[in-house]
Amino acid sequence: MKGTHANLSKDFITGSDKTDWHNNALWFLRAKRDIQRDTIEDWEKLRSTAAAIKDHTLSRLPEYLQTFEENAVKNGMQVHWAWDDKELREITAKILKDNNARSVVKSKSMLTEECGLNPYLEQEGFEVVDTDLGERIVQLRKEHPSHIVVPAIHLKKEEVSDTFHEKMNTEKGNASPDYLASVAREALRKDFMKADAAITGVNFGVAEAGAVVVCTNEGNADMGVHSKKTVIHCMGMEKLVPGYDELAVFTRLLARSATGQPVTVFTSHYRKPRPETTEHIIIVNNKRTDIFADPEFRQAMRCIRCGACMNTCPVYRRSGGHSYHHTVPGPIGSVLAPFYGKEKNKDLPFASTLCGSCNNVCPVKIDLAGLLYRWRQKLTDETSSDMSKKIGMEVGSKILKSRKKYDLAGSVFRWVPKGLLQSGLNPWNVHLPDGRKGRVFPEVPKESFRQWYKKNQEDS
Amino acid sequence: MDSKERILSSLKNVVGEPLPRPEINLQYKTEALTEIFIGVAEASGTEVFLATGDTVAETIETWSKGGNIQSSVPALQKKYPLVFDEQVPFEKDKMPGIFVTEASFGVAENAALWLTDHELSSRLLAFIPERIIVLLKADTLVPTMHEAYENIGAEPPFGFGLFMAGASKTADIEQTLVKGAQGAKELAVILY
Repeated sequence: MKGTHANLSKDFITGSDKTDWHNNALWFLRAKRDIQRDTIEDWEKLRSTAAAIKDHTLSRLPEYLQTFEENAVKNGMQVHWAWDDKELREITAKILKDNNARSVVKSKSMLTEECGLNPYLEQEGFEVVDTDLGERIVQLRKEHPSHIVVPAIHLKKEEVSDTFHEKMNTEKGNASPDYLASVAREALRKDFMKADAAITGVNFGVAEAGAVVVCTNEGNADMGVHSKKTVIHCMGMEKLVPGYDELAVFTRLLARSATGQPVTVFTSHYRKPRPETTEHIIIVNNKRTDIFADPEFRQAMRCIRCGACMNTCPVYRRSGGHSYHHTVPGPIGSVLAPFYGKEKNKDLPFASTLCGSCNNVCPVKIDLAGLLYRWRQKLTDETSSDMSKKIGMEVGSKILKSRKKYDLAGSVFRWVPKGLLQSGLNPWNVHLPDGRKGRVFPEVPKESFRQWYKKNQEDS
Repeated sequence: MDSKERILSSLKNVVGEPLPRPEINLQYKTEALTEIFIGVAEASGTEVFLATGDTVAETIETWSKGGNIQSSVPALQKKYPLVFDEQVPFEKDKMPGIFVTEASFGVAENAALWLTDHELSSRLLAFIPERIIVLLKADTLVPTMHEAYENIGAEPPFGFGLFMAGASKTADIEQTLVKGAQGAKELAVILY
């Protein structure tokens, strides 16, 4: 299984010195989140209210979607519905063509990542520039975001410096974030000037107001939306909230959970287009109706994509986002991924310790660990089994059922020479590139605990 | 069947019983709003100045250090006329060096300032100038976003509405905070 999380994370863990550094970078966000949590008088009640609002909204989703559309149209927005990723791509390309737009500035949208919008538009001859700095960095490197909120969290500043030197001719070796960000600012200004259209994602759709809300720290979404005559907002249909009172709950939770800020620098509410501007909202399904139809997994649609579950996950923090071969990595990504292909994503719910830390930080209280556990059972029944795992489990089960076999299996290790057990022949051992041993099979004691205990009891 | 019908009918087939709209009961009595606002704003890198109606202009002048000031505030427009033109938004000569506007209210818990088309004149003015000054009457402060959206619901509907809570920033390169990612590099709030 070449493309599994276990295999993909190998490079990150053993081929680089990034594991601890990445772990700490994410934990820094988690710690900032905790500080923000402590400033709120009733944080747990805020979370449970948010979960209840989402459950309510989902329980009336068809009506809220229609209310949202009616109000948005009244406000002068054009609303489109996309059944799947293909339809989102086609609608977007058609709007651009109809408005004679050739180049696009885009703000962050994991939905358009999920739907493969950028490669499609490029293939159709459009020029697409991601304007969020982190996304721009991964775009220039022809990579995907490794995190849904901080897309370039897997990169060191020296790597960013090398990329910018190669693509934007910055000073070689200058890895000062101030310098690199200022060069990107100037370059992106030119992209903003040049572009014909702007595309954004959506954080919240407010049904009663017919408005979409986009949250950024850089202001990049607004730079595009307010300077272009053609504007497209791509919204996953789970993003709806009923009204402003409910929106208040989520604007309090989102940035605190995501990056440990009291709120994002810009929380932009787009309700009516500027004069002479066409503004479109595309409501996207892309398998969300399947998730909705599953009573066990519907709660995954509460997700507001804050990334808190990634920041706290011991597996994500040490394996990096690119090890999860799905657009959204980490715990929530592994819950969603099997809906986009059970066979190809069957390993992802196993990329977890089920420690439940994600459950504790999720602002909408999704039972992430529970859902991952549930997937493990379902996927084992519903997908083809990995032969080595299957045999291993069967052998393990036979050994554990019989004391004789268990004793025998344990003693086998005592017969194998230590040199062999700790050599490269044993796949359990991990050797680092500089020759150090990253993980070594422990020395096997001369006797089992049972033998030791028996002997000591007799002695006393 | 078009995609809208297909989506809605797929949802309706399985939606089940509607759950009641939850009551949101998260408001608490908060005092010292000004102190909280200043603390949060400064922690986010915003400069806060206390002024009186008479000293606002002086504070603007001092902070601006002689830059090209433009304002959308009616009382200041004579002194700082707005020459920015939305039709040519990137025209350097027309872009304000310092843009002065006034928020209709502020939020203490996160130092967010509420600005709409009404206050901004041009939407892009909240993003494109290098430096921004926002005037804020101290008695408009509300404790949390709950009261903030109550205000918004009570006001006439906006076309574009913005909570601005600092200068544009990014931490996308190794978590290092850089101010002035795309929008304004500095934000000052004058509380009066």
